[in-house]
Amino acid sequence: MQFTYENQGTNTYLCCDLTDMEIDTMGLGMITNNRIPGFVHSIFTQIDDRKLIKYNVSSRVSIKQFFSGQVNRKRLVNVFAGIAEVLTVSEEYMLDMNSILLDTDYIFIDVTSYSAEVIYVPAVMENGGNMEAALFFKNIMFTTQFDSSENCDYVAEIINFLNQRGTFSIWQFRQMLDRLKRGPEPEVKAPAVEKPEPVKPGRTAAVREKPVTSVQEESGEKKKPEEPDRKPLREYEIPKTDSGKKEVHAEQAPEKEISLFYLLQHYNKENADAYKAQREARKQKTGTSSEKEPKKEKGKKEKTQEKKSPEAPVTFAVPGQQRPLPVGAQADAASVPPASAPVQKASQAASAPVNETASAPSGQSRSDFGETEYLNQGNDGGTVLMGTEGTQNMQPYLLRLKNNERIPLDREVLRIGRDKENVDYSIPENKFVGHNHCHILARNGEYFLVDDNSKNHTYVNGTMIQSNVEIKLSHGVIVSVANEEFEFRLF
Amino acid sequence: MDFIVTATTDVGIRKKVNQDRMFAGRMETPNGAVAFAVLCDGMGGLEKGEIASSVLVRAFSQWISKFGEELNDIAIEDCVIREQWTAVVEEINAWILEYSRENGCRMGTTVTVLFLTSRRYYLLNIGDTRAYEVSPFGMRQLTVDHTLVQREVELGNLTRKQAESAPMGNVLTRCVGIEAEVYPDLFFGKPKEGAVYLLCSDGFRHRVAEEEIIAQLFGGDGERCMESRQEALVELVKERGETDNISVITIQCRDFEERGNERFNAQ
Repeated sequence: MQFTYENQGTNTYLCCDLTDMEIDTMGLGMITNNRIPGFVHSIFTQIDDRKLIKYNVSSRVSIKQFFSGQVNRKRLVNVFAGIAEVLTVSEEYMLDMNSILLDTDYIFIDVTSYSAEVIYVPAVMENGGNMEAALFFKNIMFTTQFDSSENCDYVAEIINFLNQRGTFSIWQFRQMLDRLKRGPEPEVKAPAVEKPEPVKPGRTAAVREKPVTSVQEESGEKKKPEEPDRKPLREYEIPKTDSGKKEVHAEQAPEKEISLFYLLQHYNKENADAYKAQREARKQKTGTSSEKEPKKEKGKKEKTQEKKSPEAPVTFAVPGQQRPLPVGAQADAASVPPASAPVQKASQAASAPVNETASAPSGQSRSDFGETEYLNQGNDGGTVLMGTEGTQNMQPYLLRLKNNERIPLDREVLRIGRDKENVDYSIPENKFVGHNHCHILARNGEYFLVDDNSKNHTYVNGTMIQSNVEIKLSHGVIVSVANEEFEFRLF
Repeated sequence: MDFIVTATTDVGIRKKVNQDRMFAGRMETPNGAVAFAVLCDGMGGLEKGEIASSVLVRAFSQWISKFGEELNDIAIEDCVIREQWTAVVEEINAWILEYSRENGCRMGTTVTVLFLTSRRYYLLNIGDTRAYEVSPFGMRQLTVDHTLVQREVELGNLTRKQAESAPMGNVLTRCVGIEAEVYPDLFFGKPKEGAVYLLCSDGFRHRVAEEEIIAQLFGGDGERCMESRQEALVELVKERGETDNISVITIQCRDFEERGNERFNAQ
C-alpha cells in the first residue's frame, strides 16, 4: 500500500495505490460518493490495471505536524474527540473501523476548526480491532509535549482511561472526550465543578456516566455521583464493571496527607486528585495567589512582574525638558501630562516590592505531576539574547525581504504560517499565507524546507516545491511563502 | 553612535484640540546610547481621538522605561521587539475598543514607534504617520502607509503623483482601536551615521517638499539647533494653510566623537 503526495493547482492529494489489493467495493462507494464528516474526501481512478484512490488533503496538516511543539488542551481534546467520533460513527455508514488508518502521518487536521479527518482505505485489511485504537491514542499521549502553563488534569484523565485494564471502549472514550470538550476549563484559582453530561436525546445508545471531576472542590465536599442509567449498552465490547467502582473511590478525599514524593511513587487518579485538593487547601491558608510562576508570564502584563526595585530611578532625557524625568512620569512635548491610573500603576510597579514572588515558593514544591519546570526563568523583558557580534554571525536565519527582519533558525522545527498559535513565525497580515503554511527543519547543521499542503504553495528561487518533500536550503536562496519572500542565510 | 532627539508639535491653524501625542528621548546603557520615539495621531469625532493616542503613547513610554531598565546588551533580537510591541498594541487596541463600546463612541489612533541603537533600528507602524531616514542626499520613507490611496498605488490604479493629491487621501486601512484584529508592520535596519530619523504625522508632510525638509535639517552652518529648524518647518506648513495637527520628531545619529567635541566647544 503505497502513499504519495500530488499537487494539482490549489489542491493537495494523498494518493494510495491499491493495485494489488482486494477492494471493498461497498466501502469505496460509500466514501467516494458521499462527503462523510470526519473522512477525507476521496476520488477513485483506474488507469488500465492501476487503481488509485486520491484523498484531498488541501490546507490540512497531519497530526504529527499539528502535535509537534507544545500541545494545549483545546487542541488535544478536540482532535481526539473528532477521531473517536469518526471511529464510533463509521459503523453507521457501514464502514469497517479497521480500514481507518490510525497513523499520525495520515490523519489530517483543519487547523482553523481543529476537526480531524481520517483516511479510509477501502481494501480488505487485517483485523486490528479496538486495541489498536487504544494503543494509537496512548502512543500520542506519551510522545506529545503538553502545554504546561495550563491545567494538565485532562492529560492524566485520558492516560488513566487508556491504561484501564479490560477492553478499551471507544464509546466510553468518546463520551469522556466530549465531556472534556464541553467542560469548562478547570482554573487553578477557582476550581470549577464539572457537570456530568446528560444523556443526549436522539441517541439510541445510552452510555454510563462518568461522574469523576478532575478538580476537587475546595470545601472538600464529596460530589454526589449521578445515578447512571443502566440501560443495555450498544458497544463493540462489553465494558468492565471495575471502572464504576474506581470512580466512586475518587470522590472521597483520603484522610492522609499526600506529599509529592508519595504521589510520584503511588500515582493514580485518586491520589492525584487528593494531592491537588490538599494543595488547594494549603494555598487558601498561605494566601498565595497563583500556582503559576509569575516568571512564566512573558512580561507582557505589568501586574505580577518580578523585578528588582530600582535604587536610583532610571532617567530618560526628554527634549524640551531641562532635567531628565524619572521613570513612570508621562512626558508630552506639548501638553501637561494628565494624571491617570496607568501612570500611577507604572510608578507603583517600580516601587512595589516583589512580595508575591518572594513568598510564593515557601517550601511547597512548585512542580506538579504533569507540569514541567521552566528553564528560562530570567527572561522577563527578553532583553539579552545574543552575546557578541561573533555568535550572531554564526546563527543561520531567514531574512524577510519586505522589512529586513531577521528570523533566527534556532530550533529543530521552525513553523511558518498565519496562525500565531500554531506557528513559530506568524504573518497574520498576509491572507495568502496559510495557517500552517510550511516549516524549516534543522538537522546536523543542514536546513530543509517543507511545504505543509498549503493552498498558495511555497517556492525556492521561484520554483514551486512539492508538499511534504524536504528541500535542502543553501545559503542565499530565496524562499517564497505564497508571495512573502525570505532569503535563507547560513551566516 | 550618539543621538539627539527633538520633538515638536502644533495644534495647527484650525483645530481646537491637538490629537497628536508623542514621547521621545535618549537613554544611556552600559553599551552606549539608545533613542526612542513614539508618535500617535488620534482620530475620532467628538474630540475623543486624543484619548486613543494618549493611551497608546503612554503604554509605549511605560514599555521603554521598563525595557531600558533591564537593557544590558544592545544586541536585541528582532523577534523580541516584535513580540513585545505587538503585545502593547493588541492590549491598547482592546482597551480602546472596550472604552469606545462603553461610551458609545468610535475612536482610533495611528502609531509609529522607533527604537534606535548604534547597531540596529526597530520600527513599528500602523496608519499614516510616517518614519523617514533623511540624509543630505534624500529622504527614504521607511514605513508603508496603511491608507486606501497607498493600496491603490500598490495595485497599480494610481500613480504616486496622483496619490498625493487624491481626495480620499486620509482614509485608513489599518488603525488602532477600530477593529478587533490589529496587524502592525515592523521594519528593521542598520542606522546610518549622520542621518536624521524623522517621524511625522500626516499634517506635517502634505504642504512641504522633501527638498525643503532636507535643506532645513541639513542646511546652514550648523549653528542653529534642531529645535529651531523643526519649528521653522512647522511654521512654514502652517503658513501654507495646513489645517490638521502638525507633529514631527527627529533623531540625529551623530558620531560619538563629534558630540564629545561639541560639548567641549560649548564650554
